[in-house]
Amino acid sequence: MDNKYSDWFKVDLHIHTDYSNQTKTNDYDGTFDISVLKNKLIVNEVKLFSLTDHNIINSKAYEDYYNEYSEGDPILLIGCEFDIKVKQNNDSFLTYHTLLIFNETDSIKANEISGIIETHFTANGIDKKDRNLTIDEVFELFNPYQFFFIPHADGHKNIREAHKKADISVAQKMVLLMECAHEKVKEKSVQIINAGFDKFKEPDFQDKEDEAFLNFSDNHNCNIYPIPKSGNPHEFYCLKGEPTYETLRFASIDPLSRIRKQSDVDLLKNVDKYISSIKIDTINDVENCEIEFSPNLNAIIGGASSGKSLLFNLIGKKIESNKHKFKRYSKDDSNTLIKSSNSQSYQSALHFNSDEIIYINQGDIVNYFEEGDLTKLVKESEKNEELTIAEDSIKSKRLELSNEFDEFVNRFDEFNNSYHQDFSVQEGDFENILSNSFYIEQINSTTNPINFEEKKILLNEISSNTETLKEDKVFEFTDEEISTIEQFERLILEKKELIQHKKNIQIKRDDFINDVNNIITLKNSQLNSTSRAKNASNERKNNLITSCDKLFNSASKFHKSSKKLEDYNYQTIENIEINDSVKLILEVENNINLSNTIIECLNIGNINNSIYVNYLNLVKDNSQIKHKNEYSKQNLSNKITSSTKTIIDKFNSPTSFLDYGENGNSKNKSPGYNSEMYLKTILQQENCKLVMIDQPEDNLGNSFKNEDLIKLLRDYKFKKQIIIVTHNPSIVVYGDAENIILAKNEGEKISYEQLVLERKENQKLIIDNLDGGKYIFDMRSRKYNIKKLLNS
Amino acid sequence: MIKVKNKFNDSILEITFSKESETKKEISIPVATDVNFKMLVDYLLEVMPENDKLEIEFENFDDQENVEKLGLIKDTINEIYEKFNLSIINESNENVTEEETGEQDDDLPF
Repeated sequence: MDNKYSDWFKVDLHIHTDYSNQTKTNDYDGTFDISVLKNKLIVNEVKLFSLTDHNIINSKAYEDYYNEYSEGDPILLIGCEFDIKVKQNNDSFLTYHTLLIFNETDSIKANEISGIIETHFTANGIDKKDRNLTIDEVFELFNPYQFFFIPHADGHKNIREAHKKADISVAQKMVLLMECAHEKVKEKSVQIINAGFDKFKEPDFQDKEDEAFLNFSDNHNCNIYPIPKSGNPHEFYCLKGEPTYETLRFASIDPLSRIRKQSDVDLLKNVDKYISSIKIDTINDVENCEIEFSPNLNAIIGGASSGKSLLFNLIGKKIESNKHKFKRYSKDDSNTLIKSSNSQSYQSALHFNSDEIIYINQGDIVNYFEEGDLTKLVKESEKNEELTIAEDSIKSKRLELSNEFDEFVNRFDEFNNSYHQDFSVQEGDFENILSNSFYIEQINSTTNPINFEEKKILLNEISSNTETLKEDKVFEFTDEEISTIEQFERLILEKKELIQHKKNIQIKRDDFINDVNNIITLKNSQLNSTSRAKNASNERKNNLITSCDKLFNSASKFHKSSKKLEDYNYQTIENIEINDSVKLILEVENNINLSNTIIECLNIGNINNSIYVNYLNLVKDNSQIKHKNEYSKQNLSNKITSSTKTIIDKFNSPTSFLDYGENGNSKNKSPGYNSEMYLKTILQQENCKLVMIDQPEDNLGNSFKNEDLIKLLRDYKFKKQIIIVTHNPSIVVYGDAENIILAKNEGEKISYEQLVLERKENQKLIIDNLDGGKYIFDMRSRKYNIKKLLNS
Repeated sequence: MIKVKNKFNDSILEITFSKESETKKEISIPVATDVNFKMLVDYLLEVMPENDKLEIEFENFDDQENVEKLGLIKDTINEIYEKFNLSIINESNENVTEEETGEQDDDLPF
C-alpha cells in the first residue's frame, strides 16, 4: 500500500553478486543467494536496492527476484557498476567505477540491458576481465533508457580524489553530464568535495548549496549483508518518498530535504508530539475520509471554495488550546476524531499547551502591523509575563508624571497663596516699635506636636495582628511562646495607655497656654493706646517677615517643581525579548514638548521663557489661565490635566515595534516587510510543536515568498510540524512538502485526496491546482540542470 | 552672587541690584508713610531662578537724621534678604540631599 505522505526509507544501490567474479578476479566472497539477500534486506528495512556487478548484469538473480516479488518487498532497480575511462588532457585515460542505475524493474529489461552489455563487449572482442566503457559509449549504448550515473570513487575517497592528478575541468564535465547523485565513500570528505567542485562550477550552478551524496554498502557477501567488503560497519542512507526511481530523481534535485543518514532520520522522527491523522465523519457536504499527516510540512491546496480553510479550521477546532479562537468554522463535527503521534487511538480533541502551537489565520500577520497591535505577537511568543511587567512599568511612569503635575499644581497654589499677602508696614509702625511703651508677648504653643491619632492606629494594628498571629495554628506556638506573645500584648496595652496619657497632658498644656494667651490678650487690650499700637506694629512687622519667609520658600519649591517639568524626559522604552534576535519595544516617545504644553495653559504664555517665569506672571495676574475666568487650584489642575492629556494618553497606548537588531526595526517599514520578520520570529519559538498557517502568501512580498519563506519552512519543517494552506506552488515544490492534501469541491461535495510530489501521477494534479505550478516545476528542473521533471 | 546696595535718600530707600558690576535693577521705596516692600519682593521672586545669594551692603544709614528708625528699617529688610538667602540655600540643600540619599541606597547590602 502506498504511503499517504513522503516518509523515509533505506536505500542501497550498490550490492554485488558472485557475477562480479566473472569480471574481477576473486571479487565476491562466498556464495551469492538472492533469497538470502532478500531476507537480509527485509530485516534491515531496505526498500530500494540494486544488484551492481562489475561490467556485467546477473540477469538470473534479477529474474529470480522479480519472479518471487510480492507487494511490499524491496524494489529492485536494474543497475551495473562500470569501469569508465575518462580521457585526460595528455590523451591518457583514467579509469574509475560508476554505477548506472536504470529506471527499469522487470526481468525482461534486465535481460535486455544485460544483452546490450554482452553484445557490445563480445562484438569488440573484449575479454570479460578487461571490460570498460568510455562516456560516449555509455550514452550510445544506453540512450533509450533513463538511468542514474553515479560515479564511484573506488579506492579513492571520492571522485575528485580520483581525478586529482588529472584536469579538474574534465571531472567537472563529468559531473555536469550526470543526472545523478554522487556516491560518497567517506563522510568527512563531503565538505571538501563540495568546496572543490563549487569552485569549478558554471555560474548557473553557483547557487546550488547542496550535493547529493549517498553511501551504499558495496557488499560482496550476502551472508554478512550489509557489511561492505572493507569489513567496516555500514550506515544506511535514507531517501524520502516512495521507493521508486522518481524518488531518486527528487533526491538528486533536493538532497537537503530528501537525503539523510539513518541516524539523522532517527532524530527527525523523534518528534514527541504531532498530529498524525484526522478521521472526518458525518460532516455536512464533506466526504468521510481519513487524512494522515507528516510530522514535517503538510500543504493543503485546492481551488477557490474547495474546502482548504474548512479542513484547516477543522484541525484547529480539534486542538484544545485556549490560545486560539477558530471562529470561522461552524459545521457540526462531533463525529470527527483526531489522533496524535503519541496516542494509540482517535480522540474527540487533542490537547496542546498554549506554547506548543502557533496558529496564524489568513491575513493575521499583516493585520498585526496594519493595526499596530504587536502585543498579539508577544502572546504568540509566550511572553505574557514579560509584557505585563513592561506594561506595569509604563503605567508606573505615567503615574510618576501625573504625580509631577499634581505636585506642580500644589506648589503653585502654595506659592500663589503666599504671594497674595500684605508686604508692608503702616505709617508710624517703626515709630511705635521704637516707643518706650510696653506690652506682653504671647506664648508660643507646643513645639513638635505629636500625632496621637497616628500612634493609636499603629498600636491597634499591632494588637489585631498579634491576636491573629497567636491564633494561627500553622505556627505551632508552644505555651512558652504564647506567653511571650501575651507579654507583648500587655506591652502594647501599656503603650496605648502611655499615648493616651501623653495626649491628655498635651491637651491640658495647650488649654493652659490658650488660657494664658487669652489673659495676655485681655491685659494688652487694657494697656494704653501707645502700648497697643506698639503691639500691633510689632505684629505687622513680624507678619511681614513671616510672609516673606513663606513666599520665598514656596517660590523656591515651585521653582524646583517647574524646573523638574521643564527638564522632564518622559520617553519610556520597555524591551520584551521575543527571541535572541528580535525584541518587542514598547515606547512612549518624548515628541510633545512638555514645557511648552504647561506654558501654553496660560494666555500670557511665552515659550521663550521658563515655566517659572510664565507662572510668576500668573501669580501676579490670576486671570491668565486660558479659557478660565479666574484662578483656583481646581481650575489650574483641570487645565493642566486637559492640556497634558495627549502626553498621558501616550502611556496608555505606547507605540510598539519590533527591534530586529542589526536588521533595524519595524518602524516605518511596510506591513509586508514586517510580516516577514514576524513570521521568522514566531517560527523560531522553541517550545512550539505545531505551526498552522492559513495562506501566508497573502500580502507577503514575492521575493520573500519564493526565497525566505521557503527557506524558513525548509529549516523548521524538520523541527516542528507545519500545516499550511497555500495556493503558492513555490511553497509546495521548493518547500518540498512531505504531504500534499488536495481539497476538491465537486457537485457541492467536498473531498480530500493525499498526494506526494514524487508520484508522477500526482504531479499533474498538483500543477493543475496551483497557480503557475508547471512553471515552478520546470524552473526547478532547470535550476539543477536535469531533464524536466514532467517530460518523461 | 547678587550685590544689593541699600541707601537712604530723602526718606526714600534706594536699592540697587547688580551682578558682575552690571546694574540689573533699581528700586525706590518711600519710607515716610506706609512702607510697602512688594516691589522688592517681586524683584526677588524674579531673580530666584538664578539661585544666587544676595550680598548686602548699606550706605549712609548712620549719617541720616532719624537713625533709630532707619536702623529698624535696615533690620527689617535685612531679615527679608536673609529669608531669601535661606530659601536659596534650602533649595540647593534639597538637591544635594536627594542625590546623597540615592548613593546611600546603592550601598545597601541587599
